[in-house]
Amino acid sequence: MLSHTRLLSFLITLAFFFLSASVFAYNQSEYQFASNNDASRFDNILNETRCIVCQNQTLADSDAPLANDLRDKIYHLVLENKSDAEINDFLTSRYGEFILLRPRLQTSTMTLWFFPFFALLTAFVFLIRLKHK
Amino acid sequence: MLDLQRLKLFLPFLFLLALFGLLGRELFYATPNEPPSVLIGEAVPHFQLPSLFSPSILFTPKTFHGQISLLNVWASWCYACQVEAPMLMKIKDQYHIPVYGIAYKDKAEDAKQWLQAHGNPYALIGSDLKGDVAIDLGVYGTPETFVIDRQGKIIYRHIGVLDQKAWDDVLHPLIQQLQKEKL
Amino acid sequence: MIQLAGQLSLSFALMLALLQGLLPLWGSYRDNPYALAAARPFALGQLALVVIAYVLLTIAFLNSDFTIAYVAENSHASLPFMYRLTAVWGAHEGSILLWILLLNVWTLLFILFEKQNSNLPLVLAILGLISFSFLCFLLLTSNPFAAAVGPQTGHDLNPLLQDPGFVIHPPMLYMGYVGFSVTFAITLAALIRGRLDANWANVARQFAIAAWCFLTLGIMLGSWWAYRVLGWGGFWFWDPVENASLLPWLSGTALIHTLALTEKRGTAKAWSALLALICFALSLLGTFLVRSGVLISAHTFANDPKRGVFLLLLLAILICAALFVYLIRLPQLSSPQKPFVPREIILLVNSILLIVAMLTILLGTLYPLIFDALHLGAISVGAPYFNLVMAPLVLLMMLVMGFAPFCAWQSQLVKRIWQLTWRKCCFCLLIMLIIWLQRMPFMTGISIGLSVWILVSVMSTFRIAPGMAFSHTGFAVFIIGIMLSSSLSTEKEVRLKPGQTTIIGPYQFLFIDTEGTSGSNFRGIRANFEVTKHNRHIVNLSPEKRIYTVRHMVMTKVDIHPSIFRDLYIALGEPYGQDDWSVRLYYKPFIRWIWAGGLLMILGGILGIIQNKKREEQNIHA
Repeated sequence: MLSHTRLLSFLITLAFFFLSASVFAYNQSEYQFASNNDASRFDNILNETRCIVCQNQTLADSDAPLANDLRDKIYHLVLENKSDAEINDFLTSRYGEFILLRPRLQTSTMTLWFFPFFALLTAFVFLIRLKHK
Repeated sequence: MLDLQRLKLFLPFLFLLALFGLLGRELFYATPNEPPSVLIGEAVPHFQLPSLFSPSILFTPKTFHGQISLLNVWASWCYACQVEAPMLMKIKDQYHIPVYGIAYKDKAEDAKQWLQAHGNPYALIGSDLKGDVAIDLGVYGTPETFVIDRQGKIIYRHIGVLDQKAWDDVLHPLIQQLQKEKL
Repeated sequence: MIQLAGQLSLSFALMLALLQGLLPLWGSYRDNPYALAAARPFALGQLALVVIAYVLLTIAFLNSDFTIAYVAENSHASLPFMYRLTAVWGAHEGSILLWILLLNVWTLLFILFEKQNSNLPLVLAILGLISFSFLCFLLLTSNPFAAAVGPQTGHDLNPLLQDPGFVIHPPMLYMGYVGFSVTFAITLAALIRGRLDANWANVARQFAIAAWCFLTLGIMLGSWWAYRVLGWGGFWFWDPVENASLLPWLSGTALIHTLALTEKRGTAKAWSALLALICFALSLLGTFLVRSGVLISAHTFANDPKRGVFLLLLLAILICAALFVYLIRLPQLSSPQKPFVPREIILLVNSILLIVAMLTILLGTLYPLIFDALHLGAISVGAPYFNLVMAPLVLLMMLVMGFAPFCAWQSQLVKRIWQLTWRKCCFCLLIMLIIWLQRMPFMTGISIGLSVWILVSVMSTFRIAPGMAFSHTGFAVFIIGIMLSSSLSTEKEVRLKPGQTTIIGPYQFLFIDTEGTSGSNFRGIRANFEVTKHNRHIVNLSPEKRIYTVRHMVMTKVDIHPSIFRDLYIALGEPYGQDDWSVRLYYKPFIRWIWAGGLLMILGGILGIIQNKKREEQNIHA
């Protein structure tokens, strides 16, 4: 019973934070969007694109001049209502698949994306077979 | 029966062999920090830049047609570009390969001053003030040099300083091979 | 002088390691008790020599002896004392020496705790051979005592490493990596002897838990350090080097759970043994990947293909030899055929989930290499991929974790398990519902619900099984920390001048002024901020921008106000003018729970070892 009271107070504290939480778009002062949807789309794309100059950062984090330029470009593409796929095409036709941190689903990346599922399936089938022996 | 068992024993070793082979090969050939250009084999993406010295003259990919040339992306604020300047002059004077330039995010005055100080190896220079053309070319740092064939296709991209070694080992042989092909 | 003494120590250590490796093996083959008995003194001798070499290198750093190349590249006369001590492992050569030192420390621990073990000579032999290979690697390709060419003034330690977090992260991480060499050696020795019994499982498990505790600590410290130093408020990046440390952690966790099964019921012997070998193989693979230069990473060591080839061969020979012995003995490793009990099934499911997770991360990390080798171009497999793919695996794991305490070691009806758990399941579903109704993301709701599920499932087991209780609680807290900090955190980048205020969350940040600051090897600018909440003073924060003079590197020094329920994090961006700065502010709720969870997991591990020892003593006295 003691733990239930603890959990309750935990929930109340959580509620306090829900009321004060909000999501700001990246660098909101520089990049304004009319719709929240566009803002979060922009944010997502920046977080999933590699900065090719400082290769271990995303476009969202990098200070490099090229990163600034690409952010501007992507900003305008979002304003033009280009879809995520179109923006990704824009980036990959210039910099290759390398620039996307989330590998796109193609024949060459099928193994990558489906491996966990099939590995799990295989392992569970094996386990069930073992159980029935 | 015995052979099937033997095969099962070999399988894990085959897997390990593949893994170690992969790692060993990549040890020597991987250049993870220099991804290859995706424009290789494609025509130079269309651009239209004002020439540095006479802005009314436009630099477009049409210039490349009919000759084998180099396209060098540089800037006056880039230290490595100073280092490769003598080599570019050599390519122009000694090897007689036309070198075209794109001044990347450079003010015209700064670029012109730099050329006065280090010499001008370029047949024509496009002024890419906003850096848009460089982005279209997939450039991510200066200097970068492209080898362009007679049809205006990008054959090779060299990242970083173009020194004698890179010229002798890669670019020059490539250009000579291109020159032999159907005149 | 130090150079010569260091080289000599290492050369003698090399010889002793070889003898430590070969003599007991020969003694075991020929049944020669003297050769077998030689194992221990040689091991201790080798340890002493390696310690001497390490101490000599440390003295060289303390004295700023720049006649040694390694010291010249990683230190400077102005480097503060504490960092001179830690610069010893600041780059490749020194870190390999540390690796070897810790390997011998673990050997010592094995000798101290397992005096009576009948396999002692064989285990020491295997550890000796591993040490021998690494000493060869050290002396032939990465000699820390190599002489500097020409007079040197020192290049200073990389400023990113001049942080308290760095002081302890690599040694703890290496203790973890290297600790699995003991389970590897114990298992291999038992395989050579042809006998894997409950005693093997017990000893292997104790050492596995110990290594796992250090590895968890090392990973947590690395995450905390990245958070403090890198300036973006991130704590995990799925960087290849980070993944390299996660792989042995995942298989280590599987190993600990599977060994519990083998110890208790004698089943799954072959699987446990294989896991023990895999854990260390992954440690070695990680060591290789980090230094090879084949992957893009924030952690770079200076790369040299010659070193890479040596390390790869070392890795290949050790793993193939171990696999060979394993496959030869596999037919003899039959476990008793007993019908499965619920706890057994759940432990095996846990194994599967952890190993599939490990293989997924391994595949993702190596995929760019495979792509390149097949001439498919360059590809990135980054955080978005790993986060997406790991999510269902982790959620499944958490679901299973919650059921585990209710699954008995005897045959039990599924109905009974449901009877014990259905009320708790409903409570957790309720929590999930509340969270979703609050418009929080779907993932956050599920994760918190499952975390609560784990917490209520171990509620009553703290007395009987404190190890499991604390570790699982720790994991739940860890997940809560991750999910809440990512969905509730806010960040803001603003341009401020002194006198201006900005608000983030319920906090007000007042930019007071800037002042110059300097240390022995840097100068910089410090910006002073006052943080208030509802006009009540909370704290003063002072982020800095530093230039480390020797390497001409600019570092952003972040300032953080930590607290149980939230962190306030402030970093300076670029200056627009004299006192005109771009400032990044982060409000991160519950982020400390991530590392608190890690500490709880380690506590659980320690308690597990203690409890095991107690039970062992009871069994002896019974």
